[in-house]
Amino acid sequence: MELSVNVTENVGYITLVGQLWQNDDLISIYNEIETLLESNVQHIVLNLDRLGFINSAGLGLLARTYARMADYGGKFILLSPHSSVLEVIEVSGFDLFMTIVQTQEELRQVLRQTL
Amino acid sequence: MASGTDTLNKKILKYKARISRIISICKFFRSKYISLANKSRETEKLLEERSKALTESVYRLGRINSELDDEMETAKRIQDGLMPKELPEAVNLRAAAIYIPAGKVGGDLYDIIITPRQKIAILIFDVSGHGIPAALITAMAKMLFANNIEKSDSPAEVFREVNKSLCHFVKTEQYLTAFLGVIDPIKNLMTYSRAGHVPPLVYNTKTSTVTKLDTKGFFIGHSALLNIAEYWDSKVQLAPEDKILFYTDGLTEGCSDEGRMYGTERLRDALMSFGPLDIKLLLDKIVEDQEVFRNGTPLRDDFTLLCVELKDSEYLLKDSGFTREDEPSILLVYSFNDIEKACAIILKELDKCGYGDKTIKQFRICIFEMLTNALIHGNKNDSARQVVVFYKITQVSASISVIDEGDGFDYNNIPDPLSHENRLKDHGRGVFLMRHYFDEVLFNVKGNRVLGRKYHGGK
Repeated sequence: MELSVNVTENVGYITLVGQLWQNDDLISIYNEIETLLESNVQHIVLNLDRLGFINSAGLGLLARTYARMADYGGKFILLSPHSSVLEVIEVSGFDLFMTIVQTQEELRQVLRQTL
Repeated sequence: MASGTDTLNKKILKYKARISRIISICKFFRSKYISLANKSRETEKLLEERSKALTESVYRLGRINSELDDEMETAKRIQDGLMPKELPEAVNLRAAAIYIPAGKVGGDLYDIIITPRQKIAILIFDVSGHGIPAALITAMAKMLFANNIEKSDSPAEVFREVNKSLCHFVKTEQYLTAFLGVIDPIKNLMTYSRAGHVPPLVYNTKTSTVTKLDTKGFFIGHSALLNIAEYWDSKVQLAPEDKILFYTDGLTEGCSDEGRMYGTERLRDALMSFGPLDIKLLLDKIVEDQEVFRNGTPLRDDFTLLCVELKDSEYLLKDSGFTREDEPSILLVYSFNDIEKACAIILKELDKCGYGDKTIKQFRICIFEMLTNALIHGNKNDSARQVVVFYKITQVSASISVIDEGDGFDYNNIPDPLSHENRLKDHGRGVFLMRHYFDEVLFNVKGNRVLGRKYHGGK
């Protein structure tokens, strides 16, 4: 898996490419999130439009990050999950409490409401 | 008086003539001496030049010899590198091998390859001749065999393809002999072909008997054989605990001090005597027996011994949820690196049987869940332990069974990941996803085996 990080205003964007299931990848993402929070980023957007596969370990990362951001007082947003990844997210019931947006426009609206 | 003067003059003239002759002789000898002295100097010079040239030649030859030694050493290292360092772990067999060099670079090689269809291919071959040409052909043949074994489980087919390629590339008079056996680990059935190689021997532990795996087949790689060489597959039903001894003819052609060869009969007797021993010890004993027979006579040829012992595959099936009649396929997984490969093999079968894209994606998630659970929670990330995967895909249903070497877990008390108190936990969704996507999920009593089944078109 590849990941890239950038920050715009006080929003941290993490883009995941490939497959999300290996422990080393999960650790890298956790570390990136902590680094972002230390630099006073307010919200985290996880861009999933190029993520092709997720398993229960990847779902665990989403759950843990959601809980971490709730404690932190920021928003955790999933952007453009691929249909097969979205299906697993929905099967696990995450769509009931996590913010999932499909387009940049939807993302801007959500961020406008929170900022 | 006048006559006295005349007489004197005559005498003087006579003496003058003598003196003149003496001077001529002296001049002659002097010229000869000078000529000889010159020739001697020329000879000395020539000798000196020849000696110098000889010294240079000796130096050049020494350098060439040293370069040849270096090249032979490199060839030997290359060939050593071609021998498998560790024989691969196979689900139902153990293997041991021994290589005895005869001082020169030989052309012996053996290999055990798990094929993409999860059959176990056992290969031994012997390239004619020695030295760098043999090492080059050995390297080329190893790659050709590996490539073709990956494509086909028919040894005869593999031999045909390798023969074609070697005949095309090798323009020398060299050739190789080979034996290739492909074992179905569930049925203990070996399909084999022989390309002019010495026939392996099978020791049956229960009956203490030895049989020879003989069949027809031409040598491989000699250009004269391109259009006439043919190879045939034979099958042999092996039994658990059978020991198959593969070897090269350097063993049986080892000579005693009386010039007699060790021979197949003596090898057969040795296998009868040492057959009950552990395979490593068995090989040592055979090598020792040949050494005793040779009684100090040096080996003319290097030789290789490879012994494979079959284990009972019944114990594996016992807990798998499959029966022998189901004829499931089998895969082994030792680490995370093996997951993608195993997954690709199973998904390809699903695709062949017409399962749709959506089901294949869901199956992929389930295979990852089953295998990561088995590796992490079952085998505790210990790559020395194996995860055995049985699967059977038909147009009616697709079943996969995963067995780890752990202590199992309590599958009756898995927390519900959808409940409010568990929804933010970072674990505990693997079995949940399996149960969601499979039509059936069954555990064994111990909890170290999970079987998932999906019916084509729904239950």
